[in-house]
Amino acid sequence: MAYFNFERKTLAIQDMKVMHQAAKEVGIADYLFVSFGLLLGICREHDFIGHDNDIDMCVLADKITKDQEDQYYAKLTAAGMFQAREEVTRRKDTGRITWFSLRKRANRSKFCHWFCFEWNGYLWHTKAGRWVKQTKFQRDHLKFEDTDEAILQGTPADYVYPLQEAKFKDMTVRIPALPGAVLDWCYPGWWLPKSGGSSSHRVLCRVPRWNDTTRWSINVSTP
Amino acid sequence: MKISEELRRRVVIRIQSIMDMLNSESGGRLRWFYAFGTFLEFMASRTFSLNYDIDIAVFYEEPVEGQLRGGFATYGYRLDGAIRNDVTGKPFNLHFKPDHETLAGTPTVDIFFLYPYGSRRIYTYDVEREGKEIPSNYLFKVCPRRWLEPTDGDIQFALRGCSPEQRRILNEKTGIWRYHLYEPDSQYEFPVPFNYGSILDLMYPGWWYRQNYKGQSKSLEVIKVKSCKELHKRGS
Repeated sequence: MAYFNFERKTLAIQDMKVMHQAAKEVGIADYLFVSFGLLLGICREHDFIGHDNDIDMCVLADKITKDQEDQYYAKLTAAGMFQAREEVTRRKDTGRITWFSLRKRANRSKFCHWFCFEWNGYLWHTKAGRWVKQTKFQRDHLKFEDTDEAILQGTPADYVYPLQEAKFKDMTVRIPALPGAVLDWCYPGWWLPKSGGSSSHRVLCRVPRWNDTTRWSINVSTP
Repeated sequence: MKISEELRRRVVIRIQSIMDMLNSESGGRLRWFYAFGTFLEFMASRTFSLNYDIDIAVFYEEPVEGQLRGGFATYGYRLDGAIRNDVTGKPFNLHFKPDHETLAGTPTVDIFFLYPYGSRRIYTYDVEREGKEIPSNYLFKVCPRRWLEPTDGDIQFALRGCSPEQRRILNEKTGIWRYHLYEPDSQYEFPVPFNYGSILDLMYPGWWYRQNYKGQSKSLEVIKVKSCKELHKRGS
């Protein structure tokens, strides 16, 4: 059954406007962009995906300071955006946010923000330690230890940079430079709708320790 | 002249029949897919209106000109033009025109032969509208091969993440997606290349706006030569 009815779409747009306004006020609006499921909806249907109750936004974390990150979070808190849901994951070394999930009220959409960074030609996103578990990634796909600090999922950086503007509803949002390439990467066969599922685990990176990139290892999936 | 739904379906199934009958040199069916404006219209607007000329792509190395000419003739088309390699005579483009009263008002069909050029495939047509098979200048546009020719690994990876419906429309050998037209699981199919999103980005920036996209496909680069001897020299 479709999640998005007219009312939920209207509320979701309101929430997105609050986020964009907060981002503008702290100077990170140029680095906030739409990706994953919402990008798929924009490109394929010019709309939210009907069953998608978890809207993905991304932030180019490399381009913003920790202060800006904290201020953005504080503004969203002040706007009541975390009232019904507040979950955060952070890097153990710097305390920088890697992901958060918010929901203003029970009748409104969940939004998550992925704080992405570039390394070795990929843009990485993660829920840090939360992803270090068998249920998320199979060990035959990526060799990792329970003590690892994070598993990252990568998208080629040149598919994302430079961000570009796109119209969505009555808003201007930012999307990756090559949205079609991102969709091919994340959702092979994306043009035909498929209910549920997450983006593909094509390139993963094991992070035993955040502060030691010499031990990070990238795995490119080969069936 | 507005094309009726019935005529539209007739044209689609004729073209599909012609192209699906072609045999590849390596055995099995030929890889073919809708391309350029036809591809854009379908991907961006979910329509195949036949208001525009139909563009189809095959790979250059497949020796299918004779089969194509025969097939199109059988179904009421005649060859109305071509662009050829001045060294080998092989076609880069064949232009078919409907020649039967049952196809009156329906568009022409262009078959583009995608030439392998290192890590790219290049294509051309009668850019300067000279009407000659050997043009004064060849102007080629470029597409990365990896977007058109997935590896087995790419295809198997895609299959793993696909839904059953998506899996049914992906050819495991060629990586071509065959989407259904008009109704789910209909006999009318619309083949597109594997990394169709990447191709849309390259050729039609802003495609997701889904407005009437005017103009020709863009290209990362354009290769201009007076003779295909230069291609063979620069080539691989």
